[in-house]
Amino acid sequence: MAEFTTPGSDYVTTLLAGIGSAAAGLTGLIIAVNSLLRRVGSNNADAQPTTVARVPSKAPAAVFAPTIVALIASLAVFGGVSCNATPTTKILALREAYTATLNTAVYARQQGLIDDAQYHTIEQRRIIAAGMLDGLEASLNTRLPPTPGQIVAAADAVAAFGEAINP
Amino acid sequence: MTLAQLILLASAAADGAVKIAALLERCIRENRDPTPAEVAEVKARQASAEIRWADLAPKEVNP
Repeated sequence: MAEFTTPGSDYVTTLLAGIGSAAAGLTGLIIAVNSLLRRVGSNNADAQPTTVARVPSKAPAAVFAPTIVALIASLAVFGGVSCNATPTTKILALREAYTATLNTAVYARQQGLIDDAQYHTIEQRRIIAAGMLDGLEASLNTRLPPTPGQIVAAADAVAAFGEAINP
Repeated sequence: MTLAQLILLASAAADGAVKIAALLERCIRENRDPTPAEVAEVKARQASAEIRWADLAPKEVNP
């Protein structure tokens, strides 16, 4: 465990990282709850008042998978971009978010929650996100390292990739 | 989807989030870039996920 002999930059950096992690978790939770409420609301709107409300067999996964995507993506993107980290660390964090999102897409596809049309939509967003991450990484060792704006743009691409799983 | 599947999905998601947080926290605390081993591990997971995703591509149907 690190020792902080002086209240210097290490302490402040760690403190900020902790606050960032907590905020990211809270942000993910808010997004997750909003996603859940939106799904539940749409299910209720479709229900007929004279019939007993029934939950379709795919409902839990249909609600749960996008919620997890939002949670992971928001946590990773927020933590990767907003904290005081090196560009290499930020890019690697975004790559983690991309992989976590892709794993969720794989799981949802295996569960039959992603049809062929949506697969192609997700694939387009995935290619864009992967390309931007590779481009950022390639520029790390050049004379023109990635700018914060370029990293944010890549984070947006990863987030858009996650959103494609939640139509 | 069974309760067990839901738990597995939540566990996998939590595991991913924890790994991300741990990686960031470590790199920030030590004020360093990720090691080549850490980068390689992340890239290996990415490649594995991409292969599984490609295997699930829609089958082309010839009329």
